[in-house]
Formats: sequence, structure tokens, C-alpha cells
Amino acid sequence: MPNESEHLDFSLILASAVHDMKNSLSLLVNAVNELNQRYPCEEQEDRRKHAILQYESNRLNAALVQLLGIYKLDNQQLPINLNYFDVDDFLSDQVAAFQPLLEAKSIGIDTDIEEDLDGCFDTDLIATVINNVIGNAIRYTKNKILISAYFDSGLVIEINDDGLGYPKAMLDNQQNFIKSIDYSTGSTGLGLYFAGKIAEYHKKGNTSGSIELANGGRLGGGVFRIRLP
Amino acid sequence: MTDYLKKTALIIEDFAEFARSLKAMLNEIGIVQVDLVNSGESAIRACDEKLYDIILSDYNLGHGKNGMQVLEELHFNKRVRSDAVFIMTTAENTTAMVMGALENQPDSYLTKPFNSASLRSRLSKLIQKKEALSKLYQLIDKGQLNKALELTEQLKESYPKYKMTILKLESDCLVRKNKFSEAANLFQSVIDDRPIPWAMIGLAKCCLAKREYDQAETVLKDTIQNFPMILEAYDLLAQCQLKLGQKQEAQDTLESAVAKSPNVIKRQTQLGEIASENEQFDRALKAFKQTIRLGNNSVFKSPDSYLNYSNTVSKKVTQSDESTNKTVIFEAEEFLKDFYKEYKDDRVCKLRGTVAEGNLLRVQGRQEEAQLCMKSAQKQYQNIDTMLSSKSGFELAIGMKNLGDEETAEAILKDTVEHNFEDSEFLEKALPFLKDHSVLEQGKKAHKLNSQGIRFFEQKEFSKAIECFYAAIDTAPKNVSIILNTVQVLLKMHQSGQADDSIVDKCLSFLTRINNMSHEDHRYHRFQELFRLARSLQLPDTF
Repeated sequence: MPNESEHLDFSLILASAVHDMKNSLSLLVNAVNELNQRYPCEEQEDRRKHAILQYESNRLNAALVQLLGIYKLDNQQLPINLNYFDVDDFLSDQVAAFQPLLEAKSIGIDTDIEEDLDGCFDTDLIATVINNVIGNAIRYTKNKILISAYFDSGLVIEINDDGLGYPKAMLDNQQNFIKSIDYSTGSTGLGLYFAGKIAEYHKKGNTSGSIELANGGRLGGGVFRIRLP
Repeated sequence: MTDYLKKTALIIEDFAEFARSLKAMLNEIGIVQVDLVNSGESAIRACDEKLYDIILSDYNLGHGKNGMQVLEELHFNKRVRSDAVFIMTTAENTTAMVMGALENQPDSYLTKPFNSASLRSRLSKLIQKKEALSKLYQLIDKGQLNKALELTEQLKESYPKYKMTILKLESDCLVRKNKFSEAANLFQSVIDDRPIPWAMIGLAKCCLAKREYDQAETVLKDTIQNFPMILEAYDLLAQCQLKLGQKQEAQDTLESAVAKSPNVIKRQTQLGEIASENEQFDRALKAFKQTIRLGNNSVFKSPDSYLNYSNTVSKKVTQSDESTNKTVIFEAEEFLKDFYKEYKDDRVCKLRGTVAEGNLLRVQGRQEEAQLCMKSAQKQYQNIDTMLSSKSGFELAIGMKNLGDEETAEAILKDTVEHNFEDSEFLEKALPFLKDHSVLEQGKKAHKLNSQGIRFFEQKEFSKAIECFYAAIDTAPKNVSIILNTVQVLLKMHQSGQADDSIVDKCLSFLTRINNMSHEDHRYHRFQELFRLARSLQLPDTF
């Protein structure tokens, strides 16, 4: 029994610490955006620095969400809340969150979504995954990102970039990244592990969701694909 | 294109810096009519003054109400139009929030940090959706459910994108029209494809309404297994288990819901009541104490919390001689003091307090003081001019009986039975205590006459119908459900020209017999509507 209550306390501490940090980040990001509106960057170098602020704060936020999420997963406290959502609406919301960063880095983002496509998922959880992947794509792409979504015995969302693609070692070992945390690989592995778990959480009958990585795709760079039954 | 200039928005945010930045975002989008408040309490006041198009509320508002409680209260008091957009902003994952009742959910959650592009993207979609469905929302708000149902068919075709929202609204309408089988089919068709929480809860509620408790139990256990955080499922399961006579299981079910979220007054109250019935008094007291604490900043604050505590202490002390008794008696006395202060202008509360206090004295062996309370209660009861609710009536009757006044107890119980004839749960509890069952017989007879009247009405034998209706009310002169049902049909007959004007005066006199109904009574609204209708029909004659 005493053990159990310690667990609970740590989850609360973690949650409230994450809460505080996210509040701070929120204020930081909003202040940066407001400054940029009032004094738009004119020099290339300033824009680059602005992009760093945007990108890194986004990464910090994603890391915090993931930290709490993985802790909860481990303790079976991560509940799933399914509902139907319009995929176009959902994805354009995710893209909107990156608007300032995309502008600062002059990256174009396109979407290609089947008309009236809807999906059944937990928006909170899938938003975390998509956020991470778009963040990564922004980091590795040259100047374009394409998000596509279609139906193929379930909802499939793909995020394509025109960068160099994933390293071969990562593609070959992707199942290992997804299935367990390899402490030597650092954060990329953690993100994939989390994404894989969240996809798996989405079940329909005996089918579970999954994720996969590939190179090539429609922009010739990296492709992240998530399938939700 | 949405005309943002015309939209009014309210920001509820305790953190001044956030509020300012949110306001700047709204301005950037083009929304200029923006009000700011920094607490749930001031939000409620702001919404009393005007109906906003857009409400952005933070979930965590520091001390006082949180964002969910604000939304719940606004829904409860109908101070938010259903075509308004309510967005809950939050720094954490939304898990904690979806634990509340599924029907009190905001239109959307926005997780901090978010920028104006995200806010704009979300807002524009929600506004588009609400505008597309606005006619449907308006019909539902006005209670024109048949028209609303017709419209859903049309809307499903023109807006396939909003199919699920429309289905959900359609099921709401069916439930409100008591068409439980149709609603159940609709929920089932959604579940057949996917186990979606709102559809599962909806199906369970329909099963409960149809008294198919075994099926409800299966659906609810399934819901809990799939979605352990949907706490509404636990509440309903407990209800179901009570119906099936599984009192201990019901207590256990609520216990696991309370462990996940301890701050819901209704759930704690129910847990307390069941634990008390299961004679686990310490558990019951803990739950009731919690309801008193939680009541301090909630619209659901209730005098019941204090009285439940005191009455449970009396029961506990009667049943066992424990060392903890002294402490809880002291606490009960303190709570009663708070209670008198809190509800000093409410006569029914004062009476209930006096009876509870009398019993608390009685179980301590302070008979003389207990007798004084009893005498005071008798006097107070003579002067009560409000109808007692089934809960208060039952509590008072048992309290007076325990104090030794069987006569007043019987009178209270008889009155309460007559006034709450349709409340089967209450009847079941009350009947074993009622000596004179004539009120029951008369109620049944009146119901028969009422249905006979309706049959004549349907056969267009109007004068025979009216005769039956009058006879029904003569048989059970204070029976609220009989009076309301009968007056409704009579007025309908008058409106369609099948009865002369004298019927309106008669209706008014029937309604006057029950005009001591409490404003909190769930039937008060219907009573008021009928009264207004009768008055409006009467007016032409007086000129």
C-alpha cells in the first residue's frame, strides 16, 4: 500500500510541474509572437533566431507532453477518449499551430486530404503524435512538407518532407524503436516509441493502429505514416 | 465568411498576462467586442448580463469554480445558447476534464501553448459548424423537437461532415421525447461500428429508462472496461445496481468513481446515502462531510448535506456505542449551527433542522430538549406554506416518528405521497411507514379516471371526457401529477374548441390547489407554463 501512494504522488508532482512549465512556455511563445508582430524581423539573421525560438519552445513543449504521457502509459493511467473527427479540420488545426515557425523558416506546407474523410480517434493523443512529426519534418526538410490523409481499410495520415530522409539504420530498425526505448538513441527513439504506443491504443475489433517510417514518398524525402483502423 | 466584428466574446482567465494575450489574439482575428473576467463567479455574473457568441474559459481558475463548473452552471441556468461556441483552454491533457458529465462538455479544448493561428483555425471551424446547424439548435432550445427531428434528416444530407454531431442531437431529441427504443436503436447503430463513449452512455440511459437493468449493466460494465475514465458510467452503473438490489456493489462502484474524482457533490451524496443504508456509517459521514466542503463554491450546494450528516450521526449513535461517537456528535452540532446561519430565511430548512437537532439530542439521552424540538417542529409544520419535496417529506416523517410524534409523521407522509405520486422510488421507501393506505387507493383510482378521460377524448366524446377528468381531481384533490396531466388535456380541448370557457376557470382553481409548489421542484416549470396558459385563455372574458 505505501508504495502505491508514492506512485500516485509522483504522478501528481510530475503533472503539476509539467503544468507550470507549460504555462511558462505558453507565455514565452505568445510574447515572442507578439514581438514579431510589432517589430517584424527584417534581417535574415533575425528571422533565423526567431525561428530558433519558435522551434525550440515547440520542442520543449512536445517533450513535456511526451514525458507525462509516457509516465502515464507506464502506469496504465493513459485513458483513451474516442470520438469521430473531420480529418481535414483536425489536420489544419495541427498545421495552424506551426504557422509562425513555418513563416519564419519559409517552409511551405501543403495538405492533400480525401474529401469528407472522417476518423475515429483520441484527438489529444493523435495531436501529440502529429505535432512531434511535423516538428521533426520542419527540422529536416529543405523547403516543403506535404500532409496527406486517405482511407485504406482505416484512416492513414502521412507526413512527407523533401529532406534527406531517415538514416538507413533507423529505417532498418524501426520496429525496435517503436517497440522499446533504447536509452542510447536519445529523443528520436522516445518520440517514436510514444507514437507507436498511441497508435496501438487505437483498436477496432482485433486490429490495432501502427506507425511506419519510409524514404521517398511524394516529396522524395522522409515519410511518416500512421494507420488508425 | 464569418463576420467577426459582430461577435461578442468573453474570456475567463485568472492569469492576467494570459488574458491580455488572448484578447490580443481575438483582436487580431477581428473580434473586438471582448470582455475579460478573472474568476468563475464573475463569469457567471457576466453571462447573466449578456449572452455571448464565444466563450473562452481556462480550466484551472485558481480558487473557486473551475472552468467545467462554470460551463455546468451556465448550462444549468441556460445562460449559454447552444449555438454559442465554448472553448476550454488548458495547460494539461484534457483527461481530467472529460471525466465530468458527457453532456456538459465544451465544444472544443485548446491545449496551451497555442497561437492566434491555432485559435483562428479552431474558432472558424466551430463557428461554421454552429452556423450550419444553428436552426437545429434553435428548434431544440425552443423545445420544438418534432420539427428538430425533421430537420436532422435534411441536415445529414447537406452536411455529411457533421453527421456525428447531428446524430447526437437527434438522439438528444428522441430521449427528450421519451422515445427510448428509437434512441436506443440510434445509439446501437453507432456502437455497432465503434464503441464511442457518448453512444454507450446514451444506450445505457435508454435501457435504464426502459427498466432493462440487466442490459444496462452489461453496457455500462463494457463502457467502464473500455473507457475507465468516463465517470458517468460508474454513476449509472451504481443506479442500475441499486435497482437490481445489489447495494454493496453499488457502493463499491461509486467508491471507485470517487477515487478517480472526489469533487462531485452529487456522487458523494449518493455514496453517502448508499453507505448509510448499508449501515457503514463512518463511510457515509466521510462522504457527507465532503459534500459540505464542496458545496462552498458550487451551484449544487444543498441544505441536504448538513442534514444528511446530522441524521447519519443519529443513526450511528443509535446502532453502536463507539468511542468516535462523541467527536461526530460534536461535529454534527457545529454543522447544524452553520446550517441555521446559512438557511435562516428558509422555513422548510428551519423545520428540517429542528427535527434533525431533536433527534441528535434524543440519541444522546437528552429527552427533555428533544421534546422541546419536537413541539417546536409541530408548530412550524402547521405554518409551512410550501409543498415538501419527497426527500424532505420522508426525512421529516421519519424524524418526527423517531421523536415520538406518530400523528404528525403520518400526516406529513400522507401529504408527501399525494404530492409525489409519480416518484416510484420514494413510494417504495415510504409505503412501509404509511398506516393509512387510502391516499394510495385514491391516487390509483384517479389515474384510472384520467386514462379513461383520455380514451373518451380520443373517441371525441368530449363531455364524457371532461366528466372523467373532474372526477379524477375530486378523487385525489392534491395529487400534483393528476392535476398537471388533467389540466393539460383540458386546456388543449379548450384551445381546439371542444370545451367552453368555464373549463378555464376550473383549471385555474385546480392549479391554485398546488400553487404552494417549491420553485426548486422539477415540476414547477410545467406548472408555471400551464398556469400562464390558463391565465392567457381567461383574459378575453374579463374585458
